[in-house]
Amino acid sequence: MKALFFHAEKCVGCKLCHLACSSQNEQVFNPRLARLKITSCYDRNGLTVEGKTCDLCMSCVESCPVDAIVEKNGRLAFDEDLCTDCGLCVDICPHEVIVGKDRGIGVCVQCRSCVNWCPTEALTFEEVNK
Amino acid sequence: MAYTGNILRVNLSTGKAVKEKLNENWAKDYLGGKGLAIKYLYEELKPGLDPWSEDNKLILMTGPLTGTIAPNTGKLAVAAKSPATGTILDCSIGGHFAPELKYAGYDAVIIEGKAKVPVYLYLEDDQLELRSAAGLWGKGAHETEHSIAETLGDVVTLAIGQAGENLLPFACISSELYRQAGRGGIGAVMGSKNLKAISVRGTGGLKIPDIRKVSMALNKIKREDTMDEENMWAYTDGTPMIVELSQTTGILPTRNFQEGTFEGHENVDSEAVKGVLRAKKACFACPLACGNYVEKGKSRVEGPEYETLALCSSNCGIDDLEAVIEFNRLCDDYCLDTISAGNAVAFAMELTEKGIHDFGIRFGDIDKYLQMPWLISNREGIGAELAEGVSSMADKFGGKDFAMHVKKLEIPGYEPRGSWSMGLAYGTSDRGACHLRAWPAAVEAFGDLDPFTIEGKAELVKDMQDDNSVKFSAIFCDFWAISTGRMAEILSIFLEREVTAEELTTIGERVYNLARLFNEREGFTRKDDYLPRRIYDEKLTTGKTSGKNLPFEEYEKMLSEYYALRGWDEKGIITEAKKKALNL
Amino acid sequence: MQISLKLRGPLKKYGPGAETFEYTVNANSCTVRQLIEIMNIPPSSVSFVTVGDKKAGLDTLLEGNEEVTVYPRVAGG
Ligand code: SF4
Ligand code: SF4
Repeated sequence: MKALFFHAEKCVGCKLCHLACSSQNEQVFNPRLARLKITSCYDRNGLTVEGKTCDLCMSCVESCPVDAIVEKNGRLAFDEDLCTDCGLCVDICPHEVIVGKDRGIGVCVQCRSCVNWCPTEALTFEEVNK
Repeated sequence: MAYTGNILRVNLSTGKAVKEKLNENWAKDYLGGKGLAIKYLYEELKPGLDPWSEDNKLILMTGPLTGTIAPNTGKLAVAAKSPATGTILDCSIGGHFAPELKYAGYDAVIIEGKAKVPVYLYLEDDQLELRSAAGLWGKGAHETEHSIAETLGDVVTLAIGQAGENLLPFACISSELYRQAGRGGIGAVMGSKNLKAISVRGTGGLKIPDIRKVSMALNKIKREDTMDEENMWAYTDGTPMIVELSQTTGILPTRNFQEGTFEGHENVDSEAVKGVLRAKKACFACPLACGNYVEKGKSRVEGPEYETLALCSSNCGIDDLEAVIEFNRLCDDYCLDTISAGNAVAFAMELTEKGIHDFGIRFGDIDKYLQMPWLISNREGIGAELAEGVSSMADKFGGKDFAMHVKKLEIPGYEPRGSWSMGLAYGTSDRGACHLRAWPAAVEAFGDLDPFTIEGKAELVKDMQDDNSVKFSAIFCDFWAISTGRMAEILSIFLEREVTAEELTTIGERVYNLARLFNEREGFTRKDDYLPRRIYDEKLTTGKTSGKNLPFEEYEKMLSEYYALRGWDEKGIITEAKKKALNL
Repeated sequence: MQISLKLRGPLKKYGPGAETFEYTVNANSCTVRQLIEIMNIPPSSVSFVTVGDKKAGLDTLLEGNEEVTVYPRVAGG
């Protein structure tokens, strides 16, 4: 199974990955609707770079009471018709990368738009060693 | 959707804000950013207005591409009438503020009036709050940003430091600590309005037709054009690379422009900066990431940029990188423009060494040098004099011929005697000596053109000014050497109509002429388009530029030729025919 | 002949990986232009070349043992 990996030392904080994700999956340029969370900020301690991406831990699949999120061939698939908007998956995702919406949710579907856009190879798509 | 169609107008005197429609005709003629901001100021500011008065306006202007995935479009134009020069003033600041404003639903914010007590603005989508800045006044921009983040969370902030509060003519605005709207006292305009900071959070988004296809096409452009070899120096080195170029070509300002080469250059060049590099850092939507986050000793900064290295290192005779980094950090925190600050310190050093006035500071004196940012920002000790800028210092103490400024704006890091076109670029820049209106040094001193002739230079400078004007109005970062054809291609997608390269060149020319018209209305003419005498009269003595000056007659000729090309008369006044042709 | 070559910034990719290296040219002399050609560096990517610490022309003759630095094109600033 393959998943996204984030390499903080390479990230420049351009947010192109967020724009790539939201435009591909939500058809809008809105970094807050990206199904990954990359931050690169100066705080009192200097520069802090953090990245949260889906690593296919399956917490959402396990938590969904109506099986609206399932794993198919190593990818997540979401069925909006089944979803009851209970929000359990959004709360349970340890990486906080599931986007809650007015109707339904957005999970990472491994489209790899973010990987394709990242200018520095800070995002990669690799085998998960579990 | 390229524009949100909304402008937020905030009046600090009354505490009232209104949402109004963007003037679409103006947006068509001026695009956004620099051009549109200048248009609003030209129409709304009374001629002869005192820039310190509460009737001056501060405009934050995005562009039609801001917030989209188009590469290198994350910057913001910040404009007002300049308290330093009395000219029009527009600055460009990177970071993440501009897209956030757009996501909040606005193309621009126009700030008017003056708050009775220090405040800061907090804008979240449709909600605007004027909050007390009592606890922040007197603090640096860095502390201000940190404490606002602790109160408001993940907002993006523009802030001023002590220099802005104390109304210094070269106070800047900082964002994300190390990104600046640097020149002409833009930070003092905020200070004069009792406005400490502006924070924004925008949760909306921008939609366009065929967004997936557009993103794919833009990714190709990003890979093949933006990230092409000719722009990648921004990533591999960033602006410190220019230290080596300027040193080799003899245009590195040294000891207040007395020389064009610096014996200590190796301590402060790109190799030296790379030695203390911790991370590369980008503005929003930028794949080039010119920012160098460095740490040395106790000090850290995103920088130092070339301008800081040139003006605050070689020009002050300082070859200690750690000291320059610390000086840079202090300037960013207190919000001093490093170009003007470096010039003021260097001028004081030369006046002292020449025995004209004893400021007690000499070239290379690191201890005193490091005290300067605080003293200047707070107008303490000799800082009280330096805080007025080199033009005022010369009026009071002498040394006019080597007070390095044009229209009272201090000269950036390219010695015009080794790059004659830069002389013309400084002389005819709309906000006083500036290297961003045109940067012909790149193709002249650093390229194939003969730097010591005026041949072809007027046209070179004019064309670059027009190109840059449209670039700063569409808002593409300067570091992408983008062609107008490519700009037209991208704008066509987002404006959903066919935009041509010719149309863009005309817009660029229109913007540049409108800026000139603004200045003309303020009484600026040919007499203001000259350089300090040192450039004409004193020959450089070292390196590639040894024996070179820029003779006055040559400059005069170049200037006249430039006016003719521009369609301006001999006095530098825009002819009626030109105004008509550009629909001004 | 041997030349100490330094390819700055993005031009590094035309060398063996390091920014600075010794380069052998199979001739007793060559011009700066020829050197750039041999290295496969597109002339449009070069802003200028220095020999020692002096700016050199494209026709400057190299005869071995020089320190040559090739600087990339820059824009913006
Ligand atoms: S695109 Fe890459 S470099 Fe940019 S923020 Fe995302 S992970 Fe970081
Ligand atoms: S090149 Fe530098 S200044 Fe320009 S957008 Fe990128 S990081 Fe910002």
